[in-house]
This record gives sequence, structure tokens and C-alpha cells, in this order.
Amino acid sequence: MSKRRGYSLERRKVTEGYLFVSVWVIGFLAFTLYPLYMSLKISMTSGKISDILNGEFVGLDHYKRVLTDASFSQVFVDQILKSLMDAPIISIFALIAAVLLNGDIVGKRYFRAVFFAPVIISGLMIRILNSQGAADFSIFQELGSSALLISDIIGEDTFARMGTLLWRSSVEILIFLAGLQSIPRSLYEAAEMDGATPWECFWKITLPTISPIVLLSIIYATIDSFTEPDNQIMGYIRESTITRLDFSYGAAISWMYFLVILLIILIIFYVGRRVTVNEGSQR
Amino acid sequence: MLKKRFKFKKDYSLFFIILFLSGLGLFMMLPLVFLVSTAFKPSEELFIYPPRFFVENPTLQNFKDLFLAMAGDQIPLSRYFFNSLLVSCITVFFTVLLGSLACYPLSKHKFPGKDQIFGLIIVSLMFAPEVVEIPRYLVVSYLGLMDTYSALILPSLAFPIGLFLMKQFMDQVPDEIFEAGRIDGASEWTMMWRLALPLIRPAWATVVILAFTAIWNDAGSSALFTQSEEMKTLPYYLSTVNGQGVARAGANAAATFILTVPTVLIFILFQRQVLSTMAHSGIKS
Repeated sequence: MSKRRGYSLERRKVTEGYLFVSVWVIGFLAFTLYPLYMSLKISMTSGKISDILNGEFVGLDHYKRVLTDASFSQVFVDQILKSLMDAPIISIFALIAAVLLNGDIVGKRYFRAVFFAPVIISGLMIRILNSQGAADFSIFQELGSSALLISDIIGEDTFARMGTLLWRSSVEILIFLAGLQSIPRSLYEAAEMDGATPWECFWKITLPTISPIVLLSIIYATIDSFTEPDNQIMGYIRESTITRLDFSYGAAISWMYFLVILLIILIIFYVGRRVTVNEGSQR
Repeated sequence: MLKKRFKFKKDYSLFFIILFLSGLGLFMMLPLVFLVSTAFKPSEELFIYPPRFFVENPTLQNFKDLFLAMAGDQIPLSRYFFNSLLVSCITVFFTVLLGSLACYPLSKHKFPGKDQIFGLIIVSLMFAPEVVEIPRYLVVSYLGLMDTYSALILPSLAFPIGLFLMKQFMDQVPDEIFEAGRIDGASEWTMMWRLALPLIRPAWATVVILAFTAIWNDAGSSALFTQSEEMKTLPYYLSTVNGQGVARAGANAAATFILTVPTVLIFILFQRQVLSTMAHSGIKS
């Protein structure tokens, strides 16, 4: 009897699972997945604006055009290198900030609010700077030379880059905070009993336990950096689609760019899986 | 004696941590400072190169310019504001609802196709929004939704980042809680509303902030899916002020400032939830 009951319970869980997910998935299919399929189709046909979906099939012609586009390959390589450097910096900073914010400090709540605040504003700020013709963040020159000494030591360019990266790390800080709070307190108590210093606790307990979260954060930061609306490739795609109305070319660029991102993410994931410490039991 | 020294050392390092965090915190607030100070800059200060962080001679001229620019329009500003507010609130509400519904089974149930669904979500995060813009337009017009509120709401409901974050938080909730619930005879529906959702409150507060910011500032879907002026949203309208060139730079700065106020309010309302510590489950694993 218990066996039959167990089966039907499993069965019910499966149907309920599908039911709960289905609404979201329908929206996702209609407004993301199907449009993605259409854009793949657009990238392989040469349709005009009036009749974009029924263009003539041209196979990979547009993709070949992208490969021979010299100005694009320059932008492309630049952006990939930039994004690959951004993600680890964001993650390391977010980890340090999260560990400090997770400790017992005065005014913890206010500090957390302050570190999360850029999430609502940093995109807008970049837009204003662009509209003032200062897309290169020369704004930091003034701040750097007058207010802070650090910029003299590490150089103004690096300082400006770091600044914008810190503002983009809010979500990663949050991911880390959630991860840190799931570490059982008893581990630290035991370590303290055995005379471990906080420094040792960080390397021997904190980092191994949240290593899956570090991987998650790096992946999130990488994707975020690759797809932020202000990066050069997004600008290039927008230009060819909206300004030059060359939809097929824009779609071809997007798909090639996507394949590169996917490849990079898969590599990170594969390497990350080997480096991170596996918890014995599945939680 | 030894104990006293230890305590002293701890206080000492605490002081440095707080000093360090305060410094970084000030830095994190700079975008907000910049936004506010730009809105009050007179036009000659707006065009200094490199731009300055702080305003030297604050003025309300930018706001006057903005209202002058709007005076000639037939649609009152309140209409744009109403559209924006309606669309943002409905979208955020359903985004959170659908995300919660979907994240619970994705994290806690086993069913065929579950990993594939989650994989698709991650993959879809990697696409530029520009890629799907035109196909989305075609879908919306095929469904006959053009120029309606639904056209502004429906496409943004399936918010992959939101579901991704919620699922990640849900993974942190121990399974034992749900096992206990099941033993006590709770249905899946009850467990979801009474156990799962309260436990991931930080996640949905995060999603509220992220989704609201994204939708409130989104001028694109209004430009794409609506034609009549009375269906346009506030960011679209303000971007048309921006489009009128350098002469309107001051008005534009003021507009951006006004546009930010609601997102700041939402942030203040929900940040406490986001940053409250994850509920301690009381279960030792």
C-alpha cells in the first residue's frame, strides 16, 4: 500500500510542478524563445522591413559578412577582453564587501543599503554621462586628482574602470550575502575553539563552503558584462538594426556574439566545477 | 589580561573595517550625488569638460526649462505618469507572482524537463535584448495587442533574471522544512504560500527593486508597441525631451532626476526586506 501511495504522491508532485512552472514558461515561450527563433531565421534570410519573415534563404551569408567586417572584429575583441577582466574584479570586490557586511559591525543595515543602492542608479548615470559627451568617464579625473590619493598610485584609467565596476557589483554582493548566511554558525564556533584566526576561518571555511556561489557570481557577472546595454557590441548591433535597418546583419552579429558568450560560459562552468568544493550531500 | 588584550585587538580591527566600509560606501553613493547635483547645475556648468561631480551655483532653471518644454504638449504630464505607474506596478506584481510560482518546483521538485527549463533561462540571459526586439514586435502585433497596456506589460513578465535569483535563494532553503510540512499534511499549494514564499522574502524584494527599475526606466517598449501619444510612458516622453538636442541638456538633467524619484522610493521601501538576514531555519544540517 505504501508503495502505491508513494507513487501517486510522486505523480502529484510532478503535475503540480508542471502546473506551477507552466504560466511562466508560456510567457517565456511567446516573448523570448519564439522571438529568438525568429531572429535566427532573420539572420539566415535577406528580408526587407516590409516583409521581414519571408525573405529569401541565404544560409550563412550574413555571418560571412560579419567575419570580414574589420571594424566589427576590433570592437568584438576589445569587448571580450574587457568583459573577461571585469567579471573576476566584480566578484572579488563583491566577496570582500559581502564578508565585511556579514560581520557584526555597527550600522550594518545602513552599510548594506548603501552598497545595494547603485543598482537603481548606475545605468542612468552612464546615460547622463553619455549625453554630456563624457563616455570615457573623464569625470573621475577631477575626483581622482582632487579628492583621492589612490588614483595617483594605481593610475587614473584603472581607477575610473574600478569605480564603474564597483557600482555594478550590487547584485553580486547580494548573492554572496545570501550564500554566507547559509553557512552554519557551528563551523566557525568549532574552528574558534580550536584556535583558528578569522583569516584562517575565511580560507578554510568560508571560501570552500561558498565556492559554488563564487562560480555562480562569476557567471552572473560575466553574462551581465557581456549584455549590458552600454557596451560597444550592443551599440554596434543597435546601429546596424535601427540606424541602418539591416536586420539580418544585426541578427547575425547577435547570434555569433551569443555563441562566443555561450562558449566562454561553458568553459568557466567546466573549469569552475572542477575547482569548487562539492558538498557531499545534495541540498 | 590576555582576554582584555584580545578584545582590544578586536575593537581595533573593527574600527578599520568600519572606516574602510564608510570610504567605499561614500564611493558607492557617488552616482546618486552626481545625478542630484547635475539636475541643479546651470547650463555653463553642464558643459564643463571633464564634468564636475558637484554643483557650484545650484539653480532651479533646469526644472523651469523642463516645464516650459512640456507646456506646449496636448497630453498632460500626469497621463504619462499614470501610464508608467500602472504598467510598472502591474508588471512587477505579476513578475514576482509568476517567478515565485515557477521557482518553487524548479528548486524543490523533481520532474522531467526541469533542468532543461532552467538551462533555457540561463541561456536566454545571454542574449542582447536588441535581438528579440523586432520579433517581439511581430508577436505583439500578431496577437493584436498593439497600442494597449497589455503590450507594455506582457512581454516583460517572463523576467529571466528574476526567476534565476529566486531559484538561487530557494536552493538555500533546507528541504527538511518541506518534508516537515508534507508530514503535517500540507498540500503543495499551502507549502508554497505558507513556507516557501515567506522564506524567500529577500529574493522577491530584490526582484521587485530590479524589475521596477528596469520597467520604469524602459523607454523602448513604449516606443515599439504603442503609437498613440496617450499610451506612451514617462521615460519615453522624457527621452523625446532629450532628443531635442544640446539646448535641452538642462531640462534633460532635470527630467532624469524626476524619473529617478519613484525608483528611489521603491528602493527605500523594499531594501530593508532585501537585506534582512535570510530567515534562520532552525534546522541543523
